Amino acid sequence: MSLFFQNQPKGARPQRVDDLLGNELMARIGRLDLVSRKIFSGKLQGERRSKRRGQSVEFADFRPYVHGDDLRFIDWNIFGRLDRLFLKIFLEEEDLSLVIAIDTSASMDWGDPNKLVFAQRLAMALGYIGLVNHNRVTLASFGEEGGLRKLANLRGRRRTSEMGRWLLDLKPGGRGTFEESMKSLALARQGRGVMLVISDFLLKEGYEKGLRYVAGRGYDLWCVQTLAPQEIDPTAHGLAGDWRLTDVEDRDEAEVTASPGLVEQYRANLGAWCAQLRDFAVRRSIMHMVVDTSTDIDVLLLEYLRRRGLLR
Amino acid sequence: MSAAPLVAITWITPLTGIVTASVLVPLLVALYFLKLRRKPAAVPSTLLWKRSVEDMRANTPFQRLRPSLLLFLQLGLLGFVAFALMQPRVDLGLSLDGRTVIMIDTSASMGATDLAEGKTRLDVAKEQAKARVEQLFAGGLFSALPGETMVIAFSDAAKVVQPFTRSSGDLMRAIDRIEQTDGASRIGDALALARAFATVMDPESQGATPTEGATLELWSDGRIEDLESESVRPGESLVYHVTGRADAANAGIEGIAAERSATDPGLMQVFVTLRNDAPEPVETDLELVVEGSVRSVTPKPVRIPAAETAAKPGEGPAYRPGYERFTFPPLVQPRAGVMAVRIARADALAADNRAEIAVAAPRRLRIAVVGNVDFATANVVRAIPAEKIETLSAQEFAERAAKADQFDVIVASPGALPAVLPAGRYLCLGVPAGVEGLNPYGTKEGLAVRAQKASHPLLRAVNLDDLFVAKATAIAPASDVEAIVEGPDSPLAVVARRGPVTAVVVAFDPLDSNWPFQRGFVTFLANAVEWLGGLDQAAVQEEHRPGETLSVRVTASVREATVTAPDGTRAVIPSREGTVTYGPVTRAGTYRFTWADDRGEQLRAFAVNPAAGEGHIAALPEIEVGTERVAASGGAGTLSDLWPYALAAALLLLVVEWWAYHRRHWVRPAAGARVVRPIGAGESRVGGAPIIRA
Repeated sequence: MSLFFQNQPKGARPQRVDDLLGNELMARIGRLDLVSRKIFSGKLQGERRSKRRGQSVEFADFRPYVHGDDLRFIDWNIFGRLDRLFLKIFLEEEDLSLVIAIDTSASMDWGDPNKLVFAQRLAMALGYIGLVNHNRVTLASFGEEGGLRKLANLRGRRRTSEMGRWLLDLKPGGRGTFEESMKSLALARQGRGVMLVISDFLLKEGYEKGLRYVAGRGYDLWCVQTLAPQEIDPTAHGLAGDWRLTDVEDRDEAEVTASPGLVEQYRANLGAWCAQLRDFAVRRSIMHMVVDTSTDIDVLLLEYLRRRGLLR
Repeated sequence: MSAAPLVAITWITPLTGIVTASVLVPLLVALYFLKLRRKPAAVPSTLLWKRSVEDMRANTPFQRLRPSLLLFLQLGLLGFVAFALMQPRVDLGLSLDGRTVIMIDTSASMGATDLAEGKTRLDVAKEQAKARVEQLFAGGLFSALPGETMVIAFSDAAKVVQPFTRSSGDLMRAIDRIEQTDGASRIGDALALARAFATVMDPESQGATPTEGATLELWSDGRIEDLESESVRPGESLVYHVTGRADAANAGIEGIAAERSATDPGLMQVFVTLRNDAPEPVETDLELVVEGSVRSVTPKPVRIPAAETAAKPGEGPAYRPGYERFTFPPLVQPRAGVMAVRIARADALAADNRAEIAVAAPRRLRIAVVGNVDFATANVVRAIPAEKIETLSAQEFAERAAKADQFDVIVASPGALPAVLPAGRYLCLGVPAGVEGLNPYGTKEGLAVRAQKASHPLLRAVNLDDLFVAKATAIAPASDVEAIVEGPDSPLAVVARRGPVTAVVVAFDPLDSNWPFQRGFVTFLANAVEWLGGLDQAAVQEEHRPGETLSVRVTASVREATVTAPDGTRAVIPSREGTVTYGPVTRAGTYRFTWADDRGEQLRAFAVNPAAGEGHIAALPEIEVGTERVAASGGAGTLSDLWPYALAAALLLLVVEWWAYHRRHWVRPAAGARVVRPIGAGESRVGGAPIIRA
């Protein structure tokens, strides 16, 4: 039995880029690619401009010619056979932008495994996948004093180490400015793509406004809610007896006696909190997932995120 | 009172435990309320915790005292400690491989009705004893073959009502047979009897093996005279079942006396001593009843002072009952009769509210003056009022010796008496040959009185300080001869009792002294004649107590006498050597002896009063046998201490509490927390949301 609450260890901080993303994992995820549901959803070539037109044309379907269609895409073979005009429909490959926003507020620097370290690793892995696949990768951190920090528009595998160093430089602390940060992220949006918000979403001021800024604006939004195992089941990690709990962000104190009833109530409240976020997300086509930080990053990437459709 | 419960717990020091519990338990609960020490811990957010606490508060009205295993363990621990401090004892009802002796006190104080309406203490004791027998023979889970049990009833004397037996029926019937007495309470005989019966005779070794350990179960009120001189021997265990209330109060008649007037024998005066054992004074009317009819009543209630418990330095509290004496005005009672004094007030003990005394009719004496009695003595004797006074020579007396008992008193000079004295009562002025144990060895001259037994009835109002004896016979009396006047070397006057012969012997001739010139001489002679003639018995009756043997002297021709006991039963007792003996008596009341002799129908009444001291009926919760204190057991049975078990349970709870404190983990973690499940197939959930977990 872990006695986290009696000891409160600080997990080892990653010092090097290799600590964030090992070579083995790098090799395993190198063949993955990011998928945006919004880009898959039946966009026709020619309806909007693509920066890399013709290079990765992929046949998808036919449809009858209507007036105004680009004559270059008429399938003349079919016209020859059927004497009707059909248009070849191609999947358009767009330049996909990947935005990863990491909550670095003090509440993230907690738990064993540490929630922030977990967020750094996940961001590193996803960012690496994005870079390898020539997506435009933007990293942002919010929560520290001074608002949003950004590392914008990285592209290409050689930017990996730059991205890693930026992630290593993240300093936890502060009370978080979720709403402001989301607003400025939404305003600075470029193109379409995937956006991940990695946070514990334990925000006393609420997450709804902030998420509303970034949801539904061309971003395929993912909320990754990281929770430490100690938060999910405190009694299994040594929370028993009488405690004076201090909020790491605002130093607010709560005196609790971990009786079965209280712990049950806490679990119910945590569940309700998560369910509330999930409901909010579902209504706005936001993908929401609660991740226990003791989950292995490769299991998360190779199994869960592939199954949920973020990666392929 | 019904049968004793099967498991009865007796508390020796209940107050200690109650005080401890009443102090420590609220303290412990208060500590749980305070709970000052909380361990600090940092959490990412107190948001959910505060919400949870508020939810809990909303749901539990008395939330501060949350049910905590530790609290319950500690409360249980305290409870056991308090239980142990009260020194509980339990009656397991199974002592019994050894022998049990049931001893029941039947003394007068056991007749008190303080325990239950209409039931005496003895009735209650008998019920309890029978319940105990039932319990011994009840069988059940722990029953072995019951040990042998015997029943002894005791008051002045002990009586085996049932020797050792294994038959519960015999025991029950024996207990039923036990009867109330009015005697004193003495346990010595009962213990001796119990030990005698418990000693096992081994026919092969021709000797007694050591006494088996017997359990002595005593039902009494604890007012036993001889407890201090007894002891509980090794192997024995004494269980004391207190029968009676410690606050029982009683007032009664301690003593009664009656006296005929010296001048007018037809007038009678009755004296009573009243005793009060209650802590407050008692006022009561007294009635004087003669032969069934009320003859006198006190003009106003007699006040008996309260009993006092005064502490003497170094001796502990000394108990002193309240006493009051009362004398009834003289009443005319020329005939014989039984005079009774009644207290017109009901209290717990009825036996001592009535005292009786039997008085004989004033009797005129028949006196014989035998031989050459000096003129001084002869003149005094002739002046005593008597039925007849005969002057006989030695010759004449010897001839009529066979009928000596036709004289009440024989005043004789020593030389006139035969070598073997006929039955009778003699006053000898000089040392006669016929009385054994006087051992004359010469003469002494010039003697004065060194000491006199002033309390002896013969010397009442007799002053011998100025007596000078010129010549006396020196005697060395045997130890059973009572010297009443001591000279410098040898007694000057003795009383000798030799079977039917009673002789008052003066060791000198009054004419050899200055005694005839003193007033004491006349008084002495009159006292001697009265005393020998039994006249004083007729005038001042001594009381009789239960346990005594009653006897009357009858003439040789009487073969038997009939005794009527207070309860009306009659017994015909044959006469032996001129004496009819009945007893020992057990109940108070009037015993009437009737017989017929040559003078006609004779009646002699004896009044027996309850034993003195039995009026103190407050039961003792604890008795001291020798040096050992035996506390009363409320129920019946062998007591086993419970506090060691309570203490062991407390220690066990302490261990459990220690374990619980270190575990503090009776909150179970969510089931299956570590199981990896694919999302969609059955995620582990927090509330409704799936969690991705390793």
